[in-house]
Amino acid sequence: MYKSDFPLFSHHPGLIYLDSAATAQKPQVVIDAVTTTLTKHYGPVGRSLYPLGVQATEAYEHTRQVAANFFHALPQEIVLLSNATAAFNLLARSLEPTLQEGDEIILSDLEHHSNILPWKILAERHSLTLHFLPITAAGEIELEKLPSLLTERTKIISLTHCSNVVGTITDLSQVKKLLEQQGSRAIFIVDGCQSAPHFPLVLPELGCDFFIASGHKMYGPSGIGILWGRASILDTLPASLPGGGTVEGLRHDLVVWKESPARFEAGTPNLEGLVGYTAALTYLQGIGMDTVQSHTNHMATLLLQELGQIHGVSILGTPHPDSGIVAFTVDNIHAHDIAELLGQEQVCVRAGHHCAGPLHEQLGIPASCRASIGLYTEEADIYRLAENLKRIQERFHA
Amino acid sequence: MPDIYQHQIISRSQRPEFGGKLESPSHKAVGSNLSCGDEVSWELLVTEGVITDIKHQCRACAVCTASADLLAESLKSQPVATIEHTTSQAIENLLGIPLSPIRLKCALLPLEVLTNSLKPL
Repeated sequence: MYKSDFPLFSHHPGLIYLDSAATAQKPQVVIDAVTTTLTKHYGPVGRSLYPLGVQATEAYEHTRQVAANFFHALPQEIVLLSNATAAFNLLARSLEPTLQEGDEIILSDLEHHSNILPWKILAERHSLTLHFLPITAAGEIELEKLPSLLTERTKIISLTHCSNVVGTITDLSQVKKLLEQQGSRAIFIVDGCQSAPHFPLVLPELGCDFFIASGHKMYGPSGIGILWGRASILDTLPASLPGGGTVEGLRHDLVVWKESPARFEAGTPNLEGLVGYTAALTYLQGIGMDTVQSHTNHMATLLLQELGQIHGVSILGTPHPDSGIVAFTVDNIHAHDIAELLGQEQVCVRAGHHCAGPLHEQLGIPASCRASIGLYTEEADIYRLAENLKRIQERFHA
Repeated sequence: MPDIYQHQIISRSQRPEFGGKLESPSHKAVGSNLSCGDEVSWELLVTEGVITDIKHQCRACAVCTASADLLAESLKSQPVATIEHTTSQAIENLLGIPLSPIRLKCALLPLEVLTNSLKPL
Protein backbone atom coordinates (compact mmCIF):
# COMPACT_ATOMS: atom_id res chain seq x y z
CA MET A 1 0.00 0.00 0.00
CA TYR A 2 2.96 2.31 0.61
CA LYS A 3 5.31 0.72 -1.92
CA SER A 4 4.43 3.24 -4.61
CA ASP A 5 5.80 6.02 -2.37
CA PHE A 6 9.27 4.53 -2.83
CA PRO A 7 10.71 5.03 -6.33
CA LEU A 8 13.40 2.39 -5.89
CA PHE A 9 10.78 -0.27 -6.50
CA SER A 10 9.76 1.17 -9.86
CA HIS A 11 13.41 1.01 -10.90
CA HIS A 12 13.70 -2.57 -9.64
CA PRO A 13 10.40 -4.25 -10.44
CA GLY A 14 10.00 -7.43 -8.43
CA LEU A 15 12.54 -6.45 -5.78
CA ILE A 16 11.68 -7.69 -2.30
CA TYR A 17 13.47 -5.55 0.24
CA LEU A 18 13.50 -7.20 3.67
CA ASP A 19 16.51 -5.41 5.11
CA SER A 20 14.98 -2.27 6.59
CA ALA A 21 16.59 -2.93 9.96
CA ALA A 22 19.93 -2.31 8.21
CA THR A 23 18.71 0.72 6.30
CA ALA A 24 15.32 1.74 4.98
CA GLN A 25 14.52 2.77 1.42
CA LYS A 26 13.57 6.39 0.80
CA PRO A 27 10.17 7.74 -0.17
CA GLN A 28 9.93 10.25 -3.01
CA VAL A 29 9.21 13.09 -0.57
CA VAL A 30 12.60 12.54 1.07
CA ILE A 31 14.42 12.39 -2.25
CA ASP A 32 12.64 15.56 -3.36
CA ALA A 33 13.55 17.36 -0.15
CA VAL A 34 17.23 16.47 -0.51
CA THR A 35 17.29 17.38 -4.19
CA THR A 36 15.48 20.68 -3.67
CA THR A 37 17.83 21.63 -0.85
CA LEU A 38 20.90 20.93 -2.94
CA THR A 39 19.54 22.61 -6.07
CA LYS A 40 17.79 25.62 -4.58
CA HIS A 41 18.46 26.19 -0.89
CA TYR A 42 21.92 24.96 0.00
CA GLY A 43 24.05 27.23 2.16
CA PRO A 44 26.11 27.32 5.35
CA VAL A 45 24.31 26.70 8.61
CA GLY A 46 24.65 29.10 11.54
CA ARG A 47 27.41 31.18 10.04
CA SER A 48 26.20 33.57 7.37
CA LEU A 49 23.99 36.63 7.22
CA TYR A 50 22.89 36.52 3.60
CA PRO A 51 19.43 35.07 2.83
CA LEU A 52 20.67 31.68 1.65
CA GLY A 53 22.64 31.23 4.86
CA VAL A 54 19.73 32.35 6.98
CA GLN A 55 17.41 29.93 5.20
CA ALA A 56 19.88 27.10 5.77
CA THR A 57 20.05 27.91 9.48
CA GLU A 58 16.26 28.04 9.68
CA ALA A 59 15.95 24.69 7.89
CA TYR A 60 18.47 23.19 10.32
CA GLU A 61 16.60 24.39 13.37
CA HIS A 62 13.31 23.34 11.76
CA THR A 63 14.61 19.75 11.72
CA ARG A 64 15.24 19.99 15.45
CA GLN A 65 11.70 21.25 15.97
CA VAL A 66 10.14 18.55 13.78
CA ALA A 67 12.17 15.86 15.56
CA ALA A 68 11.11 17.28 18.91
CA ASN A 69 7.45 17.19 17.84
CA PHE A 70 7.82 13.67 16.47
CA PHE A 71 9.28 12.37 19.71
CA HIS A 72 7.18 14.63 21.99
CA ALA A 73 10.32 16.21 23.36
CA LEU A 74 11.76 19.68 23.76
CA PRO A 75 13.86 21.02 20.87
CA GLN A 76 16.71 21.95 23.20
CA GLU A 77 16.91 18.27 24.18
CA ILE A 78 17.52 17.10 20.61
CA VAL A 79 21.13 16.88 19.42
CA LEU A 80 21.55 16.53 15.66
CA LEU A 81 24.46 14.24 14.79
CA SER A 82 25.87 12.27 11.89
CA ASN A 83 24.54 8.86 12.96
CA ALA A 84 23.63 6.75 15.96
CA THR A 85 27.19 5.50 16.36
CA ALA A 86 28.36 9.11 16.64
CA ALA A 87 25.70 9.64 19.31
CA PHE A 88 26.97 6.72 21.40
CA ASN A 89 30.55 7.89 21.06
CA LEU A 90 29.65 11.48 21.87
CA LEU A 91 27.79 10.36 24.95
CA ALA A 92 30.60 8.09 26.09
CA ARG A 93 33.15 10.85 25.71
CA SER A 94 30.91 13.42 27.36
CA LEU A 95 30.31 11.15 30.34
CA GLU A 96 33.98 10.15 30.60
CA PRO A 97 34.93 12.92 33.05
CA THR A 98 32.27 11.69 35.48
CA LEU A 99 33.77 8.18 35.66
CA GLN A 100 36.46 6.92 38.02
CA GLU A 101 38.42 3.70 38.37
CA GLY A 102 36.17 0.97 39.73
CA ASP A 103 32.95 2.47 38.40
CA GLU A 104 30.59 0.10 36.65
CA ILE A 105 28.60 0.12 33.42
CA ILE A 106 25.78 -2.30 32.66
CA LEU A 107 25.00 -3.41 29.11
CA SER A 108 23.31 -6.56 27.83
CA ASP A 109 24.16 -9.47 25.59
CA LEU A 110 21.69 -8.11 23.03
CA GLU A 111 23.60 -4.95 22.28
CA HIS A 112 24.81 -3.74 18.91
CA HIS A 113 28.55 -3.15 18.68
CA SER A 114 27.86 0.60 18.70
CA ASN A 115 26.52 0.26 22.22
CA ILE A 116 29.42 -1.88 23.40
CA LEU A 117 32.64 -0.60 21.88
CA PRO A 118 32.55 3.03 23.16
CA TRP A 119 31.98 1.72 26.70
CA LYS A 120 34.62 -0.99 26.30
CA ILE A 121 37.18 1.65 25.37
CA LEU A 122 36.20 3.75 28.40
CA ALA A 123 36.40 0.67 30.61
CA GLU A 124 39.90 -0.15 29.42
CA ARG A 125 41.05 3.46 29.70
CA HIS A 126 39.77 3.99 33.25
CA SER A 127 39.68 0.46 34.71
CA LEU A 128 35.90 0.39 34.80
CA THR A 129 33.89 -2.83 35.07
CA LEU A 130 31.51 -3.76 32.27
CA HIS A 131 28.62 -6.05 33.17
CA PHE A 132 26.46 -7.76 30.57
CA LEU A 133 22.91 -8.67 31.47
CA PRO A 134 22.22 -12.16 30.11
CA ILE A 135 19.29 -13.02 27.86
CA THR A 136 16.56 -15.60 28.16
CA ALA A 137 15.89 -18.38 25.66
CA ALA A 138 13.32 -16.05 24.12
CA GLY A 139 16.05 -13.49 23.50
CA GLU A 140 14.82 -11.01 26.08
CA ILE A 141 17.12 -9.23 28.49
CA GLU A 142 16.92 -10.87 31.91
CA LEU A 143 15.91 -7.74 33.78
CA GLU A 144 15.39 -9.70 37.00
CA LYS A 145 19.19 -9.99 37.12
CA LEU A 146 19.55 -6.21 37.08
CA PRO A 147 19.15 -5.61 40.85
CA SER A 148 21.98 -8.03 41.62
CA LEU A 149 24.30 -6.14 39.27
CA LEU A 150 23.43 -2.67 40.50
CA THR A 151 25.83 -1.16 43.01
CA GLU A 152 26.59 2.36 44.13
CA ARG A 153 29.42 2.26 41.58
CA THR A 154 27.00 1.68 38.70
CA LYS A 155 27.18 4.92 36.75
CA ILE A 156 25.70 3.98 33.39
CA ILE A 157 23.20 1.45 32.11
CA SER A 158 22.83 1.34 28.35
CA LEU A 159 20.34 -1.06 26.77
CA THR A 160 18.64 -1.62 23.48
CA HIS A 161 14.95 -0.83 23.24
CA CYS A 162 14.50 -3.38 20.49
CA SER A 163 17.03 -6.03 19.50
CA ASN A 164 18.38 -5.62 15.99
CA VAL A 165 18.72 -9.40 15.74
CA VAL A 166 16.08 -11.28 17.70
CA GLY A 167 13.46 -8.53 17.56
CA THR A 168 12.61 -8.60 21.25
CA ILE A 169 11.52 -5.46 23.07
CA THR A 170 12.95 -4.29 26.38
CA ASP A 171 10.51 -3.17 29.07
CA LEU A 172 12.08 0.21 29.72
CA SER A 173 9.59 1.13 32.44
CA GLN A 174 10.64 -2.01 34.31
CA VAL A 175 14.29 -0.94 34.08
CA LYS A 176 13.39 2.49 35.42
CA LYS A 177 11.37 0.92 38.23
CA LEU A 178 14.26 -1.36 39.22
CA LEU A 179 16.68 1.56 39.17
CA GLU A 180 14.37 3.56 41.42
CA GLN A 181 13.78 0.64 43.79
CA GLN A 182 17.53 0.28 44.23
CA GLY A 183 17.97 4.01 44.64
CA SER A 184 20.37 3.96 41.71
CA ARG A 185 21.52 7.22 40.22
CA ALA A 186 22.92 5.54 37.13
CA ILE A 187 22.35 7.29 33.85
CA PHE A 188 20.00 5.22 31.73
CA ILE A 189 20.69 5.24 27.99
CA VAL A 190 18.48 3.57 25.39
CA ASP A 191 19.43 2.45 21.90
CA GLY A 192 16.28 3.26 19.97
CA CYS A 193 17.59 2.60 16.47
CA GLN A 194 15.18 -0.27 15.85
CA SER A 195 12.19 1.02 17.80
CA ALA A 196 12.05 4.59 16.48
CA PRO A 197 11.10 3.53 12.91
CA HIS A 198 8.17 1.43 14.12
CA PHE A 199 6.77 2.63 17.46
CA PRO A 200 4.92 5.76 18.53
CA LEU A 201 7.31 7.13 21.14
CA VAL A 202 6.99 9.77 23.84
CA LEU A 203 10.62 10.01 24.85
CA PRO A 204 10.25 11.87 28.16
CA GLU A 205 7.91 9.12 29.37
CA LEU A 206 10.12 6.15 28.51
CA GLY A 207 12.00 6.34 31.78
CA CYS A 208 15.44 6.81 30.27
CA ASP A 209 17.80 9.78 30.39
CA PHE A 210 19.11 9.48 26.83
CA PHE A 211 17.63 7.98 23.69
CA ILE A 212 19.49 7.44 20.42
CA ALA A 213 17.91 7.01 16.99
CA SER A 214 19.23 6.60 13.49
CA GLY A 215 17.82 8.71 10.65
CA HIS A 216 18.41 6.34 7.75
CA LYS A 217 16.41 3.54 9.38
CA MET A 218 13.47 5.97 9.61
CA TYR A 219 13.35 6.50 5.84
CA GLY A 220 15.60 9.54 6.01
CA PRO A 221 18.95 9.94 4.25
CA SER A 222 22.06 8.37 5.71
CA GLY A 223 24.33 10.57 7.79
CA ILE A 224 21.77 11.62 10.39
CA GLY A 225 21.57 10.59 14.03
CA ILE A 226 19.49 11.87 16.88
CA LEU A 227 20.49 12.04 20.52
CA TRP A 228 17.76 13.00 22.92
CA GLY A 229 18.80 13.83 26.45
CA ARG A 230 17.04 15.16 29.50
CA ALA A 231 17.96 18.83 29.70
CA SER A 232 18.85 18.46 33.38
CA ILE A 233 21.69 16.10 32.41
CA LEU A 234 22.49 17.23 28.88
CA ASP A 235 23.12 20.78 30.07
CA THR A 236 25.79 19.56 32.49
CA LEU A 237 27.84 17.61 29.95
CA PRO A 238 30.96 19.06 28.37
CA ALA A 239 31.55 19.48 24.65
CA SER A 240 33.44 16.31 23.88
CA LEU A 241 33.67 16.77 20.13
CA PRO A 242 34.83 20.38 20.01
CA GLY A 243 35.06 22.32 16.80
CA GLY A 244 33.42 24.94 14.64
CA GLY A 245 29.99 25.96 15.88
CA THR A 246 30.46 24.74 19.45
CA VAL A 247 31.74 27.97 21.00
CA GLU A 248 30.35 31.43 21.48
CA GLY A 249 33.87 32.74 21.40
CA LEU A 250 37.48 31.64 21.45
CA ARG A 251 40.52 33.67 22.33
CA HIS A 252 44.02 32.57 23.20
CA ASP A 253 43.17 32.47 26.87
CA LEU A 254 39.41 32.03 26.83
CA VAL A 255 36.83 29.51 25.56
CA VAL A 256 33.14 30.23 25.93
CA TRP A 257 31.12 27.16 25.04
CA LYS A 258 27.65 27.39 23.58
CA GLU A 259 24.67 26.08 25.48
CA SER A 260 23.49 22.55 24.69
CA PRO A 261 22.60 21.19 22.22
CA ALA A 262 24.71 23.48 19.98
CA ARG A 263 27.95 22.71 21.83
CA PHE A 264 27.60 19.07 20.80
CA GLU A 265 27.10 19.82 17.11
CA ALA A 266 30.56 20.56 15.79
CA GLY A 267 31.36 21.21 12.17
CA THR A 268 29.28 22.05 9.13
CA PRO A 269 26.17 19.90 9.43
CA ASN A 270 24.61 17.64 6.83
CA LEU A 271 21.95 20.14 5.79
CA GLU A 272 20.45 18.19 2.91
CA GLY A 273 20.35 15.07 5.06
CA LEU A 274 18.63 16.90 7.87
CA VAL A 275 16.04 18.41 5.53
CA GLY A 276 15.50 14.92 4.14
CA TYR A 277 15.08 13.61 7.68
CA THR A 278 12.49 16.32 8.32
CA ALA A 279 10.61 15.09 5.25
CA ALA A 280 10.87 11.50 6.49
CA LEU A 281 9.48 12.35 9.92
CA THR A 282 6.68 14.38 8.33
CA TYR A 283 5.95 11.43 6.03
CA LEU A 284 5.76 9.06 9.01
CA GLN A 285 3.56 11.48 10.93
CA GLY A 286 1.28 11.73 7.90
CA ILE A 287 0.77 7.97 7.98
CA GLY A 288 0.61 7.95 11.76
CA MET A 289 2.95 5.93 13.93
CA ASP A 290 0.05 3.82 15.23
CA THR A 291 -0.64 2.81 11.63
CA VAL A 292 3.06 2.18 11.02
CA GLN A 293 3.17 -0.05 14.08
CA SER A 294 0.09 -1.99 12.96
CA HIS A 295 1.57 -2.51 9.51
CA THR A 296 4.85 -3.75 10.98
CA ASN A 297 3.05 -6.05 13.38
CA HIS A 298 0.84 -7.51 10.65
CA MET A 299 3.74 -8.21 8.28
CA ALA A 300 6.03 -9.58 10.99
CA THR A 301 3.28 -11.86 12.27
CA LEU A 302 2.88 -13.27 8.76
CA LEU A 303 6.66 -13.56 8.44
CA LEU A 304 6.86 -15.54 11.68
CA GLN A 305 4.01 -17.75 10.57
CA GLU A 306 5.51 -18.49 7.15
CA LEU A 307 9.05 -19.12 8.37
CA GLY A 308 7.73 -21.18 11.27
CA GLN A 309 6.13 -23.59 8.80
CA ILE A 310 9.33 -24.39 6.92
CA HIS A 311 11.01 -27.55 8.16
CA GLY A 312 14.68 -26.89 8.89
CA VAL A 313 14.24 -23.16 9.49
CA SER A 314 14.84 -22.08 13.08
CA ILE A 315 13.78 -18.64 14.28
CA LEU A 316 16.13 -17.06 16.82
CA GLY A 317 14.41 -16.23 20.07
CA THR A 318 10.81 -15.08 20.20
CA PRO A 319 10.61 -11.90 18.15
CA HIS A 320 7.98 -9.31 19.05
CA PRO A 321 6.02 -8.60 15.85
CA ASP A 322 6.10 -4.86 16.58
CA SER A 323 9.85 -4.94 15.94
CA GLY A 324 9.47 -6.11 12.37
CA ILE A 325 12.62 -8.20 12.82
CA VAL A 326 12.97 -11.97 12.46
CA ALA A 327 16.36 -13.67 12.46
CA PHE A 328 16.69 -17.29 11.47
CA THR A 329 19.02 -20.08 10.52
CA VAL A 330 18.51 -22.89 8.01
CA ASP A 331 19.77 -26.37 8.84
CA ASN A 332 23.04 -27.22 7.07
CA ILE A 333 23.11 -24.08 4.92
CA HIS A 334 25.28 -21.13 5.91
CA ALA A 335 23.58 -17.76 6.33
CA HIS A 336 25.78 -16.20 3.63
CA ASP A 337 24.72 -18.84 1.13
CA ILE A 338 21.06 -18.26 1.96
CA ALA A 339 21.37 -14.49 1.62
CA GLU A 340 23.30 -14.65 -1.62
CA LEU A 341 20.91 -17.12 -3.21
CA LEU A 342 17.91 -15.07 -2.07
CA GLY A 343 19.63 -12.03 -3.51
CA GLN A 344 19.89 -13.74 -6.87
CA GLU A 345 16.09 -14.00 -6.77
CA GLN A 346 15.78 -10.28 -5.86
CA VAL A 347 14.97 -11.04 -2.22
CA CYS A 348 17.14 -8.89 0.05
CA VAL A 349 17.88 -10.11 3.57
CA ARG A 350 20.86 -9.55 5.81
CA ALA A 351 23.32 -12.30 6.73
CA GLY A 352 26.12 -12.26 9.26
CA HIS A 353 26.33 -11.32 12.93
CA HIS A 354 24.50 -8.02 12.37
CA CYS A 355 27.07 -6.15 14.48
CA ALA A 356 25.97 -8.22 17.46
CA GLY A 357 28.95 -10.51 17.97
CA PRO A 358 28.42 -11.19 21.69
CA LEU A 359 24.80 -12.19 21.02
CA HIS A 360 25.81 -14.69 18.34
CA GLU A 361 28.49 -15.98 20.72
CA GLN A 362 25.74 -16.56 23.29
CA LEU A 363 23.53 -18.22 20.71
CA GLY A 364 26.43 -20.47 19.69
CA ILE A 365 26.14 -19.68 15.99
CA PRO A 366 28.58 -17.82 13.75
CA ALA A 367 25.94 -16.03 11.71
CA SER A 368 22.25 -15.78 10.99
CA CYS A 369 19.89 -14.44 8.35
CA ARG A 370 17.59 -11.58 9.21
CA ALA A 371 14.44 -10.45 7.46
CA SER A 372 13.07 -7.08 8.52
CA ILE A 373 9.95 -5.18 7.65
CA GLY A 374 9.50 -1.73 6.16
CA LEU A 375 6.50 0.34 5.18
CA TYR A 376 6.82 -1.01 1.63
CA THR A 377 6.66 -4.64 2.74
CA GLU A 378 3.64 -6.48 1.35
CA GLU A 379 2.22 -9.90 2.11
CA ALA A 380 3.38 -11.16 -1.30
CA ASP A 381 6.96 -10.30 -0.29
CA ILE A 382 6.77 -12.63 2.68
CA TYR A 383 5.36 -15.46 0.58
CA ARG A 384 8.16 -15.02 -1.96
CA LEU A 385 10.77 -15.17 0.78
CA ALA A 386 9.27 -18.43 2.06
CA GLU A 387 9.00 -19.95 -1.43
CA ASN A 388 12.60 -19.10 -2.24
CA LEU A 389 13.87 -20.49 1.04
CA LYS A 390 12.22 -23.80 0.24
CA ARG A 391 13.78 -23.81 -3.24
CA ILE A 392 17.24 -23.16 -1.77
CA GLN A 393 16.78 -26.05 0.63
CA GLU A 394 15.86 -28.32 -2.28
CA ARG A 395 18.89 -27.16 -4.26
CA PHE A 396 21.30 -27.83 -1.41
CA HIS A 397 19.83 -31.12 -0.36
CA ALA A 398 19.05 -32.54 -3.79
CA MET B 1 25.11 -11.84 -12.00
CA PRO B 2 26.97 -15.15 -12.24
CA ASP B 3 25.50 -18.11 -10.41
CA ILE B 4 28.25 -18.92 -7.96
CA TYR B 5 26.27 -21.88 -6.71
CA GLN B 6 27.07 -24.05 -9.66
CA HIS B 7 26.92 -27.79 -9.19
CA GLN B 8 30.60 -28.17 -8.29
CA ILE B 9 30.45 -25.71 -5.39
CA ILE B 10 27.31 -27.13 -3.83
CA SER B 11 28.52 -30.68 -4.34
CA ARG B 12 31.98 -30.01 -2.88
CA SER B 13 30.50 -28.17 0.10
CA GLN B 14 27.91 -30.84 0.83
CA ARG B 15 30.15 -33.83 0.21
CA PRO B 16 33.77 -32.69 0.43
CA GLU B 17 36.24 -35.20 -0.96
CA PHE B 18 38.98 -34.04 1.41
CA GLY B 19 36.84 -33.37 4.48
CA GLY B 20 37.71 -34.85 7.87
CA LYS B 21 40.82 -35.57 9.92
CA LEU B 22 44.04 -37.48 9.33
CA GLU B 23 45.12 -40.35 11.55
CA SER B 24 48.66 -39.07 12.02
CA PRO B 25 49.06 -35.53 10.72
CA SER B 26 52.46 -33.87 10.79
CA HIS B 27 51.13 -30.31 10.46
CA LYS B 28 48.02 -28.40 11.50
CA ALA B 29 46.49 -25.00 10.75
CA VAL B 30 43.41 -23.40 12.25
CA GLY B 31 41.83 -20.07 11.48
CA SER B 32 38.60 -18.16 11.15
CA ASN B 33 37.03 -15.11 9.66
CA LEU B 34 35.62 -13.22 12.64
CA SER B 35 33.42 -11.04 10.51
CA CYS B 36 31.33 -13.95 9.20
CA GLY B 37 32.24 -16.73 11.59
CA ASP B 38 33.67 -19.11 9.00
CA GLU B 39 36.13 -21.54 10.59
CA VAL B 40 38.65 -23.74 8.79
CA SER B 41 41.04 -26.30 10.21
CA TRP B 42 43.63 -28.21 8.21
CA GLU B 43 45.60 -31.38 8.87
CA LEU B 44 48.52 -32.27 6.60
CA LEU B 45 50.91 -35.15 6.40
CA VAL B 46 54.18 -33.83 5.01
CA THR B 47 56.81 -36.40 4.08
CA GLU B 48 60.21 -35.20 2.89
CA GLY B 49 58.76 -31.84 1.93
CA VAL B 50 55.80 -33.26 0.01
CA ILE B 51 52.14 -33.08 1.07
CA THR B 52 51.31 -36.76 0.99
CA ASP B 53 47.88 -36.35 2.57
CA ILE B 54 45.64 -33.42 3.43
CA LYS B 55 42.20 -32.97 5.05
CA HIS B 56 40.11 -30.00 6.09
CA GLN B 57 37.23 -29.39 8.43
CA CYS B 58 35.09 -26.36 7.63
CA ARG B 59 32.34 -24.73 9.61
CA ALA B 60 31.68 -22.33 6.83
CA CYS B 61 29.64 -21.30 3.82
CA ALA B 62 29.50 -23.28 0.59
CA VAL B 63 32.08 -21.09 -1.17
CA CYS B 64 34.61 -21.42 1.65
CA THR B 65 34.12 -25.16 2.04
CA ALA B 66 34.31 -25.82 -1.70
CA SER B 67 37.41 -23.66 -1.89
CA ALA B 68 39.06 -25.69 0.87
CA ASP B 69 38.18 -28.95 -0.84
CA LEU B 70 39.44 -27.91 -4.27
CA LEU B 71 42.59 -26.45 -2.72
CA ALA B 72 43.24 -29.69 -0.87
CA GLU B 73 42.91 -31.60 -4.11
CA SER B 74 45.33 -29.30 -5.87
CA LEU B 75 47.91 -29.48 -3.07
CA LYS B 76 47.98 -33.23 -2.54
CA SER B 77 51.24 -34.75 -3.73
CA GLN B 78 52.75 -31.29 -4.23
CA PRO B 79 55.78 -29.83 -2.40
CA VAL B 80 54.71 -28.02 0.76
CA ALA B 81 56.25 -24.86 -0.71
CA THR B 82 53.40 -24.85 -3.21
CA ILE B 83 51.19 -23.35 -0.50
CA GLU B 84 53.06 -20.08 -0.37
CA HIS B 85 53.08 -19.83 -4.15
CA THR B 86 49.32 -20.31 -4.48
CA THR B 87 47.68 -17.03 -5.46
CA SER B 88 44.18 -15.73 -4.97
CA GLN B 89 43.74 -15.93 -8.73
CA ALA B 90 44.54 -19.63 -8.52
CA ILE B 91 41.70 -20.06 -6.02
CA GLU B 92 39.29 -18.23 -8.30
CA ASN B 93 40.45 -20.46 -11.14
CA LEU B 94 39.84 -23.57 -9.04
CA LEU B 95 36.32 -22.41 -8.21
CA GLY B 96 35.78 -21.45 -11.82
CA ILE B 97 33.64 -18.40 -11.09
CA PRO B 98 34.13 -14.67 -10.59
CA LEU B 99 33.51 -13.64 -6.99
CA SER B 100 32.32 -10.41 -5.39
CA PRO B 101 34.76 -8.83 -2.89
CA ILE B 102 32.79 -10.20 0.07
CA ARG B 103 32.64 -13.74 -1.28
CA LEU B 104 36.31 -13.56 -2.27
CA LYS B 105 37.07 -13.37 1.47
CA CYS B 106 35.12 -16.59 1.94
CA ALA B 107 36.96 -18.24 -0.92
CA LEU B 108 40.42 -17.17 0.25
CA LEU B 109 40.04 -18.10 3.92
CA PRO B 110 41.26 -21.70 3.52
CA LEU B 111 44.41 -20.55 1.70
CA GLU B 112 45.03 -17.75 4.22
CA VAL B 113 44.73 -20.17 7.12
CA LEU B 114 47.21 -22.53 5.49
CA THR B 115 49.61 -19.72 4.61
CA ASN B 116 49.49 -17.95 7.96
CA SER B 117 49.16 -20.63 10.58
CA LEU B 118 50.52 -23.95 9.33
CA LYS B 119 52.63 -25.41 12.12
CA PRO B 120 54.42 -28.74 12.56
CA LEU B 121 53.05 -30.88 15.39
